[in-house]
Amino acid sequence: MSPVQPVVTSPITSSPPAPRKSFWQYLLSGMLLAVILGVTWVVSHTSPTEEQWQAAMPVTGELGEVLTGRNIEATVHGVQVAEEVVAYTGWAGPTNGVWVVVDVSAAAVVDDNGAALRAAELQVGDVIYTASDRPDFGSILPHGLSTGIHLRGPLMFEVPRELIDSDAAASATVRLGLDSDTRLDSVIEVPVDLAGIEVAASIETDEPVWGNE
Amino acid sequence: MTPAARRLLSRAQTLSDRVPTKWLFSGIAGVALAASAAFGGLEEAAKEPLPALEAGEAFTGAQLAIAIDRVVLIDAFPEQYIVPEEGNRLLVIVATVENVWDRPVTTYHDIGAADNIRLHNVAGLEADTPPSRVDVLSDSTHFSTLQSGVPVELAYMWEVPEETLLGVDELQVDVYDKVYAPGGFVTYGERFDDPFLSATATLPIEDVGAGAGTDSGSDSDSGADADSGEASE
Repeated sequence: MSPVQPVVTSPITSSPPAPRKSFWQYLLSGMLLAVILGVTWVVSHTSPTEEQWQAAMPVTGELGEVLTGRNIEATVHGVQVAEEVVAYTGWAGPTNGVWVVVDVSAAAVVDDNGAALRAAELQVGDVIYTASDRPDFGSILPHGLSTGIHLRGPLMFEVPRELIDSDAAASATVRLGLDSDTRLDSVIEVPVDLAGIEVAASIETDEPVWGNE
Repeated sequence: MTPAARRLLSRAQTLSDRVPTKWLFSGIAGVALAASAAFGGLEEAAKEPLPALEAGEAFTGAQLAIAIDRVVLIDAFPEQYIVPEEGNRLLVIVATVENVWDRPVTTYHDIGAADNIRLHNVAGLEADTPPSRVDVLSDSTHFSTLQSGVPVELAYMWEVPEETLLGVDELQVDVYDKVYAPGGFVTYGERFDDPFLSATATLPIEDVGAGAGTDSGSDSDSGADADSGEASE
């Protein structure tokens, strides 16, 4: 009967001790991490936002220019400002502001099924005004659009009087589109200067007319 | 540390070991509650009284500034083809509404300014009944759009049974405000929602009968009669 020998085992079993990393290896992993973070930063800051990938596709031009988008072709001929507007229908809407009357012609390009100016906006600074529904058929708003045949007539925007004298009035934008939700379709954008326009006491607008000039 | 202090500390430690953690939290809650007694405790907080508006005085909310101008009871506006059912009359609230937001605001139900005015306790009319029409007073465009910064006189109309407001001189009108909701992950676009009562106005009811000028037949296109009919009372 042999005496029992105590077996001494190292608390750390089998695996050999890890070799010490050199300074350069630490530096390399550090730099790799910095590069990955940098690339992530660039990607997250340059990838398009929801706002951008759903944005409207503007077709921008000047007054009098024929601007063509996917299914809308429009020209903004001119802008007037008046305290009162008398439409050919006899409508004369009193307002606490003033009327910005925009002379527009518009047509559909490929499909006139349900085509109409559902987006007719005037943006001044950050504020958006929509063409008034008050003149009814006195404006071209409730009319449908035809493919290839322009409808020309007024759009009336009801805006506060002080707006015309504000700084932002010099860089206003008329925006026309086929859907009130302008995302992912063409919109016609025409910059207009409201600042220089004299406010007329009253103007009369003609009946909207069909036909290309 | 003196031996006395040390003894005290060790005793406190033994004691804290014996106290269940639950007691600790209940204790903290109890202290907080007791402290709240200084500010009224669990008593029902006094409600801020709602502003009572004079006729024509504007309440400015988050989206709209609303002034209740007049309350008119009229048979019909036949020239605008607004004729209530047999046995009913029109209760018209004339209000000046200004859009103080930077986007256009419709006057439709559930999304627009039609939600911002309600009648308070009119017999024969359910509470929270929306107006049957909201018209621009000057040209009777119905459910028009309000543009930023341009105050518009609107006529909110309800059909009420003829007899309900007989002998009633005054009517309380409730003015609501809404909560801004930014566009989110599921919905698109900013809007105002969840109307809540924020002011009241108590106005005399003008009963104009059939309304002056309703049989004159002039100016039927411009709809100016709606205005002159009430104004000439």
